[in-house]
Amino acid sequence: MLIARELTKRYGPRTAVEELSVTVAPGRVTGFLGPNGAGKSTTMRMFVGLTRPTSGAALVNGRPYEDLAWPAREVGALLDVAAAHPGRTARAHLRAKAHVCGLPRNRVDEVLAEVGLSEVADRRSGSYSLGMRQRLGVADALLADPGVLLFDEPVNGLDLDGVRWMRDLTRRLADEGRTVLVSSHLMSEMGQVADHLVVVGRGRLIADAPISEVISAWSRTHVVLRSPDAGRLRARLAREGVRIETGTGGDSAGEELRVFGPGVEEVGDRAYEEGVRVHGLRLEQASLEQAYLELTGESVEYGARTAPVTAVRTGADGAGRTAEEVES
Amino acid sequence: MKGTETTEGAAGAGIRRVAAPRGPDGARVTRTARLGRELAAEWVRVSSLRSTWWCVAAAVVGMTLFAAMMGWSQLSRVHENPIASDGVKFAQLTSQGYFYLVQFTVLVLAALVSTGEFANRSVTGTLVWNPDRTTVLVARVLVTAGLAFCASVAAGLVGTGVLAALLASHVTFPVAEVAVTVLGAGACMALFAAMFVGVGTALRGTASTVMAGFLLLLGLPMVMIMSGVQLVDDLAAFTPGAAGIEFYAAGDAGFYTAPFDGPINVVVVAGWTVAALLVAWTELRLRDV
Repeated sequence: MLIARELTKRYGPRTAVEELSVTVAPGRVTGFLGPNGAGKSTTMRMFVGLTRPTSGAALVNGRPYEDLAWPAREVGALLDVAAAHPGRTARAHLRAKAHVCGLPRNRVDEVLAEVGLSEVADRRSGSYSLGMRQRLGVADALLADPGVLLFDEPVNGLDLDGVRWMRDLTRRLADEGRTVLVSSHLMSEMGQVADHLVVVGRGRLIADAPISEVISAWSRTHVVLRSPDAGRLRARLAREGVRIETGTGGDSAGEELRVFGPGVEEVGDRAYEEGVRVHGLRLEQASLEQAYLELTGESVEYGARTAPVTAVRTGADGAGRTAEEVES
Repeated sequence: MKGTETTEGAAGAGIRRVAAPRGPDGARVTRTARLGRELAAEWVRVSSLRSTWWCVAAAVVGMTLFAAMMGWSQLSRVHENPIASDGVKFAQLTSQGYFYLVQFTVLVLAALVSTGEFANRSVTGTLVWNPDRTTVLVARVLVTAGLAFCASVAAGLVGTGVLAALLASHVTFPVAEVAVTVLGAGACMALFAAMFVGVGTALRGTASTVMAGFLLLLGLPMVMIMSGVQLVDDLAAFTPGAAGIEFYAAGDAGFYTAPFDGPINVVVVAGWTVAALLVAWTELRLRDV
């Protein structure tokens, strides 16, 4: 189990992490979500003692990492794809760690087989592709069979096969009862693998909840109706106290109403009752990506975000895309 | 050891569940035991890099070439004037080989060992595996110093062997004197290795460490000696390069005479080493990586 207790890290005037309190429980994949510069990596590095907190505590199984009797046996970390020296072979890299952990040499061969690197184990890791280096990082993390795993942006730069492999591995590790914390800024990836979300922005905790709760609490599922007679329906719904946003349909179909609250059937019935012509009626499903964008809207550092944030359709490939992206 | 089970990965590759043997959870781990494991790991880290063996080879080959060149030169002198054989000094020639060549291979070795991980970020792995940064530094110092000692002694043996092969028929080979020089130089090179592991750990940059080492070992003492000011000249004896050769050449470096002989010179080198390691230790413990 990982516990951050009012964890704060400042670099001069800049605050990377501010009074972050969160518990990462075993047996589930906890997604650590936030835009670039949100403090995800800094927090993970504080858990393993690479970065010292300015105040607060980062505890692994109830103790600071450096106070653990066998730290590398309790925590496996994939924090940096370059964590292996490029001039060293994968086998030598893992043998060094096996010495530190007091593990037998054959464990290195086992874990190399586990990640599919046995055949290239005696090649220098500098000659590896990004995916192979990522697998070596996973082998490093799994070498001592730790109960706690930290993966910082593990699918960055991976091809589809690599992403699926990483996703399956993460799922399996959590199912085995381990504590798994995976950071990412990829919403779709979190939606595929995480059970629980910790969302941060500019170093502050924004949300700490099961993924379904995050989506329902912050997302805006609504009905979109296009009609040349939208004004009449808008007036009717307004009288009933329904929240409505108005946009243009982008063609001769007239106005577009975004109706929050009632379902598709109810909106269709109201239109029928008012004698309003309907040229389009659909449900805009909320997604994790939308929830994330709304959650972190004020927390993006060094970047600009396309406005306005709109609802998201779930495409056939399962990836969330904004309405503008879909329609363009 | 836990059992093994296999699940089929989505990418088609089988993901085997292989559990590592577990140690006594929560067992008290002594710092000595931790240091022993870290020493083994550090040896794997150092010995698995080609650059390490390039440095060792450079020391041995460099000393061999130096000895061959000096031996040939001395042999020519003896052939021209047999009386000149009295002036052939094996220990002095060997010590100059250390001063002009071997100490710089040791500098580069220590710089690469101590700064390479910072340059390519693999230091994160090292410090996650073992967050006790004191044992990490101690292991690094011991392994690098030990390797520097062995490489330097090997270089010295090969170099003096070449000198002996070229000159033995004209000059009596002073085994004891040469042995003292070779072992003294080995000890001094080990101290230099430790010192520059400290400098590298503190600076975290290969180029800056090599530059600092070059200045301390050669540039600074040479400039001070050339100054012509007696006080500055005497102070040069407190730089590690000059103090070092005074130690392993037993006061007969052939180009420089320090104001004092004997163990004080190795104490000077040891002082520099301790100072560098204290700075490195403090910096490594306090500064994030």
